[in-house]
Amino acid sequence: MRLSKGERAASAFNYTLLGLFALLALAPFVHVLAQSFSSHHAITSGKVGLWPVEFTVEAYARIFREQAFLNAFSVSVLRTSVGTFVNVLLTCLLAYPLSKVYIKGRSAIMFLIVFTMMFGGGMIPTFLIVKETGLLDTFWAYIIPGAVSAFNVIIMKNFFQSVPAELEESAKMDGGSNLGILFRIVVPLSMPAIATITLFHAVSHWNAFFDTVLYVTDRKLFPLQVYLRELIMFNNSDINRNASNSVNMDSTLLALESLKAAALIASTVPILIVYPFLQKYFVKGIMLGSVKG
Amino acid sequence: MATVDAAELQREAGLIAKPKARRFRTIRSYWDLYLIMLPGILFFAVYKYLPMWGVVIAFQDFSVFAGIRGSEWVGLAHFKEMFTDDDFYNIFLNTLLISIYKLVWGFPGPIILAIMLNEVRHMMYKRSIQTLVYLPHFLSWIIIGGILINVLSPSSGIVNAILTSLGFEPIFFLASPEWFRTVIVASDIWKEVGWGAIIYLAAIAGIDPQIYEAAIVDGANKWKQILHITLPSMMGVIVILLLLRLGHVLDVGFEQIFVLYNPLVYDVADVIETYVYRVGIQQAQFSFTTAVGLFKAVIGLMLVTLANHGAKKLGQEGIW
Amino acid sequence: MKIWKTSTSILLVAAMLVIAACSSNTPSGTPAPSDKPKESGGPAAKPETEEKASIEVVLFNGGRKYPDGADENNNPYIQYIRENTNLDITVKLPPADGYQDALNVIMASGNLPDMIQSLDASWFESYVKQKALLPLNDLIDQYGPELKKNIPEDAWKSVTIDGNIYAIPSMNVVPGNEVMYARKDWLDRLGLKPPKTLEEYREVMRAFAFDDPDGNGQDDTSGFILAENLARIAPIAGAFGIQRQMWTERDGQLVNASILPEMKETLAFLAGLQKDNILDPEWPLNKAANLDEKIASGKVGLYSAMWYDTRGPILTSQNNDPNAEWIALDYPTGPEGKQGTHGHGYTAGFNVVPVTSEQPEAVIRMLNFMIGDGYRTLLLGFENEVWKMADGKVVTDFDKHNEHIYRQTLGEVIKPHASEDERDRLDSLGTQFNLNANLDKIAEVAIRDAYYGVPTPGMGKHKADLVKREIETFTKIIVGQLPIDAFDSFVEEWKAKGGDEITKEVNEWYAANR
Repeated sequence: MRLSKGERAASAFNYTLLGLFALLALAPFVHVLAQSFSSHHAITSGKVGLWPVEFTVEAYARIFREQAFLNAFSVSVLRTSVGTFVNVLLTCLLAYPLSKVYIKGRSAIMFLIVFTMMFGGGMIPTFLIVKETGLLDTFWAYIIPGAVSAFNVIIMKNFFQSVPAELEESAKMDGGSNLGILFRIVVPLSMPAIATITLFHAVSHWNAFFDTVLYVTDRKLFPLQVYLRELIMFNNSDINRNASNSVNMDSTLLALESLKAAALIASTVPILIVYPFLQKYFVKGIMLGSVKG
Repeated sequence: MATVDAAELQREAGLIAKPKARRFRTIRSYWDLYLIMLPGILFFAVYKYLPMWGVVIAFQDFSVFAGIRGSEWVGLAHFKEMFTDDDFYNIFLNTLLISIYKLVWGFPGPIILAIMLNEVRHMMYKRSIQTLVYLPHFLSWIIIGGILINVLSPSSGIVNAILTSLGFEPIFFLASPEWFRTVIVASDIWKEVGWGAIIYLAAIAGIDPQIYEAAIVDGANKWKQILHITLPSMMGVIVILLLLRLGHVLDVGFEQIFVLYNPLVYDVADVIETYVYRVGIQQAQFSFTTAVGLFKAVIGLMLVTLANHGAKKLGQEGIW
Repeated sequence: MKIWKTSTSILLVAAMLVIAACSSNTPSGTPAPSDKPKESGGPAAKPETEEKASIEVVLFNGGRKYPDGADENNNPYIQYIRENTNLDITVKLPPADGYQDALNVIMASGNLPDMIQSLDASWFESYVKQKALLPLNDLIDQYGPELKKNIPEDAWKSVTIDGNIYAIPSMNVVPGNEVMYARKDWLDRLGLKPPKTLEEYREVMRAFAFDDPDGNGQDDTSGFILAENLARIAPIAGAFGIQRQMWTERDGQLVNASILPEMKETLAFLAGLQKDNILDPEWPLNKAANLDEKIASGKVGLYSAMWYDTRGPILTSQNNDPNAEWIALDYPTGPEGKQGTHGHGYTAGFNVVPVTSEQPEAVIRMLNFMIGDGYRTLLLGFENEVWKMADGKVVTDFDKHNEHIYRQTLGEVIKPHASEDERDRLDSLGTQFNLNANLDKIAEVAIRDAYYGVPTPGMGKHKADLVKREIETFTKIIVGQLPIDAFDSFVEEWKAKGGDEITKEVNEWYAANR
């Protein structure tokens, strides 16, 4: 593939611009990372830029020290994997029929789904329904009240529509059933979109904390985000800044900023790892031919 | 306009003319597709529509303890409170302006980024860039706010250091009503553009590479490929996202404004969400908050419905 | 073709199973919540102790963690209360971040606990209005002698509505926050004495801004610093005898200090500092962390510190610069010889009993123990385990203290006024930090709000808006975007936009409670 001069210049420009922007996106993260490994004094004096000053792992030690961390971490992992699986499955099951013109009432259903994106009952009425359906203080309070996202149904429906109809028709000729076509033809062809909504759901499950506040009081079910928020809050409170104490000043004065930074890193890195695994679905086009073949 | 209406009529007519038995047959032959929709539909019915009677608290002085049945009805009092507030006009205008700026400047961002990424042939480079640009999405506005205050500081910030070295006067960006909205829009783009690009990358990934190959054979250069293959293939997603965005035109992102604004820029920075926060902070004013939410939703729904209609007339799929 | 059909049916079955699992979990989950309270309340314990009352309380835990193996219902401190009160107590701790929201859904849920600890006066007032809370007057008389002894009259007034006491208040143990601190080494270098009057303060501020107090030959210091939303101005306003937004008596009536001429003088003083480039120009954006950073890095040598900053930015500053020596100053004396700083109200928390409680007297008995005989243990920990007396002083085992830190969730439910135990605790942190000395300094001149009732309806409607206007106007006046006379039009606006209404309500209260 030969490129013209102009194209080569444009390509170089493109590479450079993207590189610069990536650095701009990376810098704050590196800054937070550096803070998480720096001492209280260094951070409060504004000395920490992109490199740790007075290196310490005290903040991470504080986060990982307790057994509660492990418990919270596993709650988060479980909720993210089960929740995302349920989300993606239900989303596909709903979105696929809605992408077919021969399904009666699809417009009405789509409208009703879009409607829920703008109108909602609010915190208390939703809480009451969650209570009535018996989910309070159970793990399922994390999964079921958010089982389907309207936004993602709309997105999936749109992607399903772009799957060429001939493929399905020819599969039908071969005697494929409707569901067979969905799972053997349509789903593999829609992997980029499925990877996208998987990522969206996984991230929102991982970051969720407010449903815990509303629906769960059993501390064994608290996820990582709640654990970390409590940790920060505890170290932040004036009461505690004066109450928690130790002979070694530097360790009690473990910088709140550094703890916050470490908490952010500890809570973000696990979910960041998901992306590279899904990435293969984005980088190169799906070979329609190979499926057809 | 007339033609579309005519087409619609024809379709309707065809439907009505269709014998009942045949309609039943389509339902019967696709019964499994109807069945698999059930869990999703049930979900929306139970967890979205059942609580929806909650919007009536916009017309009540809702008390949590008394519940909806026990709370006092006040009619449109909360709406009156909102619309008669001296500041409301200004707040509404600010909200609309910031939202439109974000839409005009921010909406194309992820599309452009996705196309730029698609043009990168070097796989490692592409993957790394992709992973890096979506990092800011995971930082909270509180953290970004702290960084922005430092970076934009007139005395010690790097941006002003660059400005002064180029011979400009330092600018107090966050305290200046002329600059505040620019900072809001630019930082929002920076934070979300990488994340927003993912969905477009998925759309691009769905394009059959054979189409590009054919275009190259026909002698189309890069620019033409983008214009005639990549962009049109993304159009469906672009339209859908634009429509959905219109539904939230009055949501500008509370956390960002709240972290960055200050009394010197209240005139240009106070938006509906900060207003609701202020009114609600005294007490969980569920009724007032719901009333404002209802107002925003009605405007959003009207815009989406109009735009959806328009999109269909332009030959796009639309949402419903 | 066959393979297709089988795989389809397998998938279908799988899908149905998932759906079935979800839906079957819903009904099987249903009995769980209703079972739960009984379970955790100990159904086993119930039959054998028929006479023992059992109560459920919802507390704020501030994010404290329990050591491995212990939890909120299984630890020696809750056991200590249970044994001493002969009550069966179940504790519930919603997440600390989002606590008030959690309380609202609990109130909506229908199955209410016997006691709720709220930290929000407006929340309290709102549920009193909804008739959700039980009046406690008689129960306190009957079961709460320690409560009556340890809670002052004014604090009771802050939880009394129409003669009924609707909450057991928890006291604020700290009289206020702000103390003036300055760099002694800077004063010495410039040959200045610690300032006393506002005029002397101004001179020191000017010198700290322009006379190179750190001796590095660069113009890189500010004379004084404030923080966003007009934070850290309390001692300056105090020199004029007032505090922002506080109610104060003038000619037998309560008036809001934010609209008094003294407020205008305070603003004029600060605007003068800004005009002469003495003030940190970035102050309207300074968050607490920015301010701390400027103190710690030696950019500012005179500021209104929090009383515990000696363990925070001041300590860091000394760490960064071995020459840095900080001293607490006397509060500035204004033109009329006044001094003052912001004083906290009495009440920090509201312990309320929902009307549905069947055991309200048990709640009072529990609180009575917690503020009386139990307080020292709940605050300091078990004697001879966490601390011991040596030479008449409390000596704390810090490792044990940190391990037992969760006890303070119980200790903070109800705090007595002016407790000696609190002083012991602060001193045990290290007397070099002057924590008690700073608190004493604050207590001497603290200006308290003359209105300490619950928020009035007018406040609910207008206060947030008035505060916003005030902060906006005052900030603009100080930075010079508005002339000082803009204050006068602000006063008119304040009155018209609900201020007069609130003033009327406040004075009705004052007439009844004076």
